[in-house]
Amino acid sequence: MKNPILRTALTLLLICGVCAGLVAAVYHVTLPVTTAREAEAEKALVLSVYPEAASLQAKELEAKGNVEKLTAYLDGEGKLCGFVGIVCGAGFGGDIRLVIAVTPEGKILGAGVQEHSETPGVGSRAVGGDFIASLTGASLPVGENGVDSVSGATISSRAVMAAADELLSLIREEGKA
Amino acid sequence: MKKYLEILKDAAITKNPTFVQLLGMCPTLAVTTSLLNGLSMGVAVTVVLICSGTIISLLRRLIPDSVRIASYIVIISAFVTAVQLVIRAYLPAVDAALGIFIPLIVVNCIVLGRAEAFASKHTPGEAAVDGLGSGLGFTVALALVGFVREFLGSGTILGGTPLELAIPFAKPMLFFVLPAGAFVTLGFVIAAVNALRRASEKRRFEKEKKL
Repeated sequence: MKNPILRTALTLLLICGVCAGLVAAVYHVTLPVTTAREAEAEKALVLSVYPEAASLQAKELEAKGNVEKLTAYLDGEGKLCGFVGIVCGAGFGGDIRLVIAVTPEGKILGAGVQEHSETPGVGSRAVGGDFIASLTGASLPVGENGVDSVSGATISSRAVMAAADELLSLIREEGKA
Repeated sequence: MKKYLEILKDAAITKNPTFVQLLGMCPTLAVTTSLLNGLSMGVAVTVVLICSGTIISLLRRLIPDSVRIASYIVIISAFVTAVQLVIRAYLPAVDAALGIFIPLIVVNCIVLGRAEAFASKHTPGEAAVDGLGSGLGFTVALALVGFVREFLGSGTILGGTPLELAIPFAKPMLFFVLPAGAFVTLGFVIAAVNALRRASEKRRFEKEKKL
């Protein structure tokens, strides 16, 4: 090839094309494994906060705002037994993603943390066992119903409480509708 | 064979990326909160170093000089993305712990540095061995810093794995898990490595003097 600029451009294009092909191939191979694993992890977490979910029928409801997923659980006769919501709160280090199980009356049955990036030892106390466990039994607004923020981890615990409140108010709306 | 051993030793020890060249400080400081994190980051970088080094060396006569850096970065990022996808699929815990620092291997100066300084001037075999050596040197350094920080900061060794060893009766010093602890630990580890290196050089010098 005579034209050096053309040669340069074509070489770079070729390298980019081959590299893109490599990434696409790896993506194609790993995608099913990744999605299966993520779905499984989410299912396990839902069962850990709401063990009854195993024997009930799930029905997806419309999610809004920071609530990413809202599922209603019905028994064999179609009676509503509870909700499980996945909701995000804006923590100190990024999103805190919670899985919360709620009774039809709007009382929290249990909660678990799916994902967070709070500072280890500081903000992480607001996503650890004791504080998350204190959400159990609380109702809207959780701050006035038995949940106290963790001192030294105010931003993280408020993010968790705000997320819980948002989910509870969405469920309350859902109940009216 | 001797040539390859020489390259390996040169890359891993004499020119250790972390302790001698002080390259790749960002992941060294950020992900070494535990021994496992340090090790897995090191292994990920080693894989990228070997693959990208080999390919860049194979293509060294084909890549025009004016776009060599762009070509290297494209090749490196392809391998990093592939490594990330594999980690996400098969080692989700490692993916969660290392997070953004896996894609950031693309801009790790060790990888581009070895591509430009070594792989583009040597045969594929030599480049692969150099990648292995640099990667091993980096892995050992990260594991060392991660071990010290986890031991002092969390009071465990390989915490959260089946091999976990917890240290009884001691209260962990949270400071070492936090970013400031990373700087302090790295400083002391480099000082210790330098002291060892100096002692061995002195011994060798005295041996030669006797002869």
